[in-house]
Amino acid sequence: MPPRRRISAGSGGTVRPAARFCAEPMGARCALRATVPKGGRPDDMMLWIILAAMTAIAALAVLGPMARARQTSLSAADRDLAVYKDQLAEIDRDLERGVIGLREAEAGRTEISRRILKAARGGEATAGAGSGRRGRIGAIVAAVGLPAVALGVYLSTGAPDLPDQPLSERLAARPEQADIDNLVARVESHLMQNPEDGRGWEVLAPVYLRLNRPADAAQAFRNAIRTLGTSPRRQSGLGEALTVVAGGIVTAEARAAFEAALAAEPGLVAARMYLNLALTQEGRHAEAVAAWRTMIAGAAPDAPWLPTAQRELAAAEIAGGLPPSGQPAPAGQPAPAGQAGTAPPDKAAAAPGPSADDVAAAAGMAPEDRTRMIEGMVARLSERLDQGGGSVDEWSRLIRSLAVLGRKDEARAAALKAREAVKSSADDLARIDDLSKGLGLAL
Amino acid sequence: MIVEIGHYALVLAFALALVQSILPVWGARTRDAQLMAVAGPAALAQFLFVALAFGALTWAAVVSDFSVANVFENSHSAKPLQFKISGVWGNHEGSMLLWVLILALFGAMVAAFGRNLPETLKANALGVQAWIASAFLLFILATSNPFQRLSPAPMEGRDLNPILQDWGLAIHPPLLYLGYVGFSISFAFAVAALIDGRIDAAWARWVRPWTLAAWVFLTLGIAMGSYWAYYELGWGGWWFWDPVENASFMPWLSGTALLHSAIVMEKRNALKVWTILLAILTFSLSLLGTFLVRSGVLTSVHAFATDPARGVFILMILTLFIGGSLALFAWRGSTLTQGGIFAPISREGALVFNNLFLTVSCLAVFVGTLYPLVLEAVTGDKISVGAPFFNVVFGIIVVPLLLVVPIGPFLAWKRGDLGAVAERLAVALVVALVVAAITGWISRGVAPVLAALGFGLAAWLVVGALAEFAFRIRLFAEPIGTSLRRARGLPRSAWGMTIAHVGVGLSVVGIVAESAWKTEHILIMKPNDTVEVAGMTVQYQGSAPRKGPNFQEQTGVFAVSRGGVLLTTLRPAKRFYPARQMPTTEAAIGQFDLYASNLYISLGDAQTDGGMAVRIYWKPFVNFIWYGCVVMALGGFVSLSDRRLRVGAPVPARLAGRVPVGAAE
Repeated sequence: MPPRRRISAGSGGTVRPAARFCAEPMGARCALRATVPKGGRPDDMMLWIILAAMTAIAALAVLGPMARARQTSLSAADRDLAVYKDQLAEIDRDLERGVIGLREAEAGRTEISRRILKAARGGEATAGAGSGRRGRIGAIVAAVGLPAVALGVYLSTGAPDLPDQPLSERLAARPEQADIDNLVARVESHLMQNPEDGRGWEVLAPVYLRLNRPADAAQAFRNAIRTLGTSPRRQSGLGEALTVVAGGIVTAEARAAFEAALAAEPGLVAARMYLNLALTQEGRHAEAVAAWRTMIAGAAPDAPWLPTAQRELAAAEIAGGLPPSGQPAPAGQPAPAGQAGTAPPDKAAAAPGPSADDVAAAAGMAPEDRTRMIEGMVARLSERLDQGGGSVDEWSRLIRSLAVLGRKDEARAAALKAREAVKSSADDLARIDDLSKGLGLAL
Repeated sequence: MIVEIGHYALVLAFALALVQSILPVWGARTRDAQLMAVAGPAALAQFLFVALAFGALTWAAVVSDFSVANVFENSHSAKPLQFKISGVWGNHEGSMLLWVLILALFGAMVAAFGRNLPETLKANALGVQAWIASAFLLFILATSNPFQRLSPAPMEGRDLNPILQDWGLAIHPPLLYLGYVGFSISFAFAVAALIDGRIDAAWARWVRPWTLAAWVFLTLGIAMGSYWAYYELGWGGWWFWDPVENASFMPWLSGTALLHSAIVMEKRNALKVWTILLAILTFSLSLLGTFLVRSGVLTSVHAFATDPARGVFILMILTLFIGGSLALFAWRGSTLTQGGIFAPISREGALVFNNLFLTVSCLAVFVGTLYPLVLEAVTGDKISVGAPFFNVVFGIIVVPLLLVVPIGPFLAWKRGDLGAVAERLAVALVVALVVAAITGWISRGVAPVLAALGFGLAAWLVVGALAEFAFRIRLFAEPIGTSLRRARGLPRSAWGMTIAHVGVGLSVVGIVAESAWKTEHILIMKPNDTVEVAGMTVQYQGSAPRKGPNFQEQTGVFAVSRGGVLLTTLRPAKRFYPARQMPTTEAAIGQFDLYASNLYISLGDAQTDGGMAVRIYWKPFVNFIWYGCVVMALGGFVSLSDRRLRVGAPVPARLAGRVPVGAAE
């Protein structure tokens, strides 16, 4: 395994969750938590009725005994007497059933009689029935306090709009999923009998990956390669499966697979992206930035993977303490040209970024220190732009930096300010909007 | 909808617990019957709602509703049904829910069976019980809510930790919690007595059965945990002095002390203050166990939660309850009246001895468990206090205690006669010495001293307990028919004591045999290799892959034969659970000597040359460790079934003098 250096965007110590480039941005596997769907279902009304009934039962459990106690309240001595009589009766019952001997029963009776005498002497003050005031307070607690606490807590923690979603219902709602499970089971049993059927493995492997069974997927890709020979798609799939198995780390084995895939088919986007990611994970930030820029430069403007690539580019830039896009690339690296979010080199040259010294200093720092330094630079930039305004490139840099640092709200605020600042130019406005959209900021 | 009903039920239970914390206690202070009457029904309703919540979570797990985060994180649609159910408490949130379910269950039982209790005692005890419930329900709702939802629901769950996919999980935690939480009743009654400022006879009568019930469950829970670790972890050990094990062992030690001191209190009206203190300490140690396991202070298979916020929360609960109850004890303890004087050589004296040694052994475990943690927190140094420390220190303390166990029951209350006791125990002493000599001679090459002392002690315990029983029914002194009639007439609590003390002896047999006579073979075997173990031939016949519902496994096949006769075939396995990417070891355990001894085989890694790393242990009489625990628990059950516990009428001293009386008569 290569050094398990992980990308540290945001704070120095955070570990990125398993990186998986999602084809569908809201796919269930990628987005675990999303907004709760709002909407009135007939179930909703039913739920509230049941909750109300439960509340009533709880309140009655408190109010009921209070009401009964008022009717039957006895003095302490009376109550003790009742207890002792009960005990005497119990002794008789036990004696009848033969669970205790005559002698023990006699001893028990004597003991209890002694207690009865003691109780009759009345050692204790008489307990009153509930005073009116205390009773009223108790009733208020039960009738008002209890539902208030319950509702207050539930409304802040519960999700009353969310229906139950047992697996069977979810499968029924998405028949294709049930079909997939059937299909997988059929193909699996077929392959159990015919393990040399490469086409079966080939069909199954990507399905495994989608079902979040990466280890099975990797094995299936290997089997497909073993039986059908290598191909760029199989190698790339194998690499992806291995990466997911390793929790998002592009292992040496995965990298070899991606490299094999690219050697045969240089245009394979996924393999290229994982290799770029591997560069960042190994701490080769400058190379990663260059690779991302090259890739973005060659992309069609509507390529679905472009936002992801831009996000990773920004992350690589931050992690490496490199000048964000829009700056002239360091000598010897191909300059990006004409993609969304970056300016043509000639215009960008005017925007002051971190000095060469800053970059050199950042490269040798511990991740925490580097993050602190980056945050310092972002703060300075933000202050300067707030006071004196700046070019669209500087605004873009600020927005992206904030977004990459995970400070989405500030990024959004900066984007709004930027729009205000550059509203005179339609081109600049569009650039800010594109960038915001790419970073997932809703303006 | 069901999930949300469950969530709301949990919230309602919290609100009810709050009401139950305040109104009855207030009522008890002001002698207000109306307010005190709230306690019982509120406790019953609280149990109803917690049970509803638990049922809803179980339902979500069974139908694989992955919109519940807890189910998504700990379940898998392919998991077998029994593990879907037991997996409900195989994680932090769910197990806390089980914890409060059992707490509410005990509260409801006090409410249901407590008709005989004086009203103020009942109101106060249920109020204290509700304080605990409120604190833990708040903890669950604030930091560990099992009803958090995910939307959209993920297609597949992350599966349960494979080590926990076992029948052990279905049994071990519920039993353990019944024990831990059961001690909350003794605690609640102790605090209620302190609040009230008096200990009446009802207190003494109530504490013993409840403590006994909790103790029985805790005994079984710990034994089950030990057995589970033995067969699942593949190390062949049964007790590791792991901090988590110690966390459950400490309440057991102090609970055992409490059990015995409660006898003195019930019989002789003595040791009242000490019993209250023990009740507080026992439950405090249960809470400490919960804290150690849940706070992330320890790393182990039990440490589900490593969220520091949870640790801080539990620490606050811990401080509040332990500190509060001890402060209350310091304040009110001196007002409680002491009663009953006794000579040092007496039944009471023996039980005080028992308490002293149990408490000190508990302290030793406490220090050994917490010292490394405290040291690391203060100085950052990591030290580990391991089995050698515990074996030596705990052994030194517990051996004198075990030596006295058979003597105690022979002593009369108030004042005993050691000379007479020695006479009656002569048989047991002779048997013990003979057993020691024989076992020492048998194991002369291995560990003669350990074997001789250990087996001698075990024989002393078993024969001593039986001798007491025989003496009591006047076996051989009167015709056998009379003796049998006397045995039938003996109170069940006396039966229970004899059975439990025999159980202790049986466990000692298992522990000593396993320590002195076990053999261990760690080797690499190729197919058809053989190895000689304890006079048997174990042949490795090869291994084959197999597919389970949610795992794959590699199973090794071992033929065990003696003198060419095949005795059994053992199939240990290494499993791999893809959803969690985790391997587990499934040891194969062959039963020999009438289910007393084990041949234990577990697989290591496969070698590149076709060989297989194999560990083979011969564990003679190891099962006695757990049989002994089960027998102890059985003794507890028998004693618990004694009807007179509920009436609690003591036998007058006149009668007690004529008939030798049992520990709990």
